[in-house]
Amino acid sequence: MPALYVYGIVDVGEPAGLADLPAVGGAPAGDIRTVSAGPVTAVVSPAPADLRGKRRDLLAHQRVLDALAEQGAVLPMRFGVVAPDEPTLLASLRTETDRYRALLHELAGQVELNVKAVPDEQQLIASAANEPAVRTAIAAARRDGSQQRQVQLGQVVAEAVGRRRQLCGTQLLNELRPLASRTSTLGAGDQYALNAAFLVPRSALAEFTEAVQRLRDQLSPAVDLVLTGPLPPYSFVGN
Amino acid sequence: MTAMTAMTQQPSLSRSPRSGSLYDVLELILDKGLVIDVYVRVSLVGIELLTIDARIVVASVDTYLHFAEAVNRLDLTQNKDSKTLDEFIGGLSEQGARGKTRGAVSGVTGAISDGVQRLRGHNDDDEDNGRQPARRRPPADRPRRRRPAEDDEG
Repeated sequence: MPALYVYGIVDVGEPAGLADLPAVGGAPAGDIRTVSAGPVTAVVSPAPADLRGKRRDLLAHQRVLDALAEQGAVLPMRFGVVAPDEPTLLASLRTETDRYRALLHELAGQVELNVKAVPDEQQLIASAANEPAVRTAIAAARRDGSQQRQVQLGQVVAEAVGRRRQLCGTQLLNELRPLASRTSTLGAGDQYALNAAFLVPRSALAEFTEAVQRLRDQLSPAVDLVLTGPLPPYSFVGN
Repeated sequence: MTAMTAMTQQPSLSRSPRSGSLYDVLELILDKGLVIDVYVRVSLVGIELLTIDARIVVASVDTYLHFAEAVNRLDLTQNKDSKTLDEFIGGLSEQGARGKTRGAVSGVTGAISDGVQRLRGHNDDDEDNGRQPARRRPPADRPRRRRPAEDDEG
């Protein structure tokens, strides 16, 4: 019995619009179907033997979930989840029915919005240069031009830049969190001041978007603010 | 249905993944979403590397020298181009004056009047060709976030 690639779980029996979508693994259309266990339904396609996660596969996954999200609540699977066979899938759907139904109920009418904020590095550095500690380090490096002193200066600046990036993110989060029913911060790391997922009722979508637009106008060009969505609620299905 | 209405009302600042930009949702697709424990999650060699790659922040001597060089190029007596950022961050300090950020931030707001000049050309590249977001032009000594498996398309 063939393995099944699982896209997501919904609470409608027959979601529309899946017949024309390409499946993960390459089938251009017609491979996507449903497996229902009472009130919960998994959307699946035959799992390719050599799934490698090419761009088109990731896109196929995302497009199916977008189509599902347009029709109602969906629990999006992480990319690459494969059920060994249909009986195993049915068994786990039955075991988890209550949990899935509760989650679907909670997420009904809500979408995920992702907000990424990337402060301009030059402005961060310019702002960091206002810190007394940085001023002191600059003065010290000007008196003593050794590479060691420059590295020390760079460390002080990097720390100040990091603090500012973090403050910027905290401030943005404070502004946006009240407009969402749930918030989940994603891996910050690298250059983001903020990289967060917001669960927002569709009725509040315009309000949230306007708030982001206002912040964007206020902070341009010091901070690049990107709003992505509406998305299936990837960040709010727990694990 | 209401869902469709919301989709079509998407404002211009919003990027829909449908427009082909996987970049902004990649980490969600790969790191978030539901997982069923008993299932096999396909091992995606290139993908796992990709997500790790995106999170590395190099803290090296080169990075520090880059910061030192950038700050040395500032004219500390001129210009207030970091004002937007300073004010935004400073606003936090006023709201949260009892918070732990107070010390650091009051230092900033006090020094704003000194003014600083926005850096130009901290790399050898010409930086005046528009205000591209920082992540599209990371300094050469930092890892670039690769796009999803584009090289591999086939």
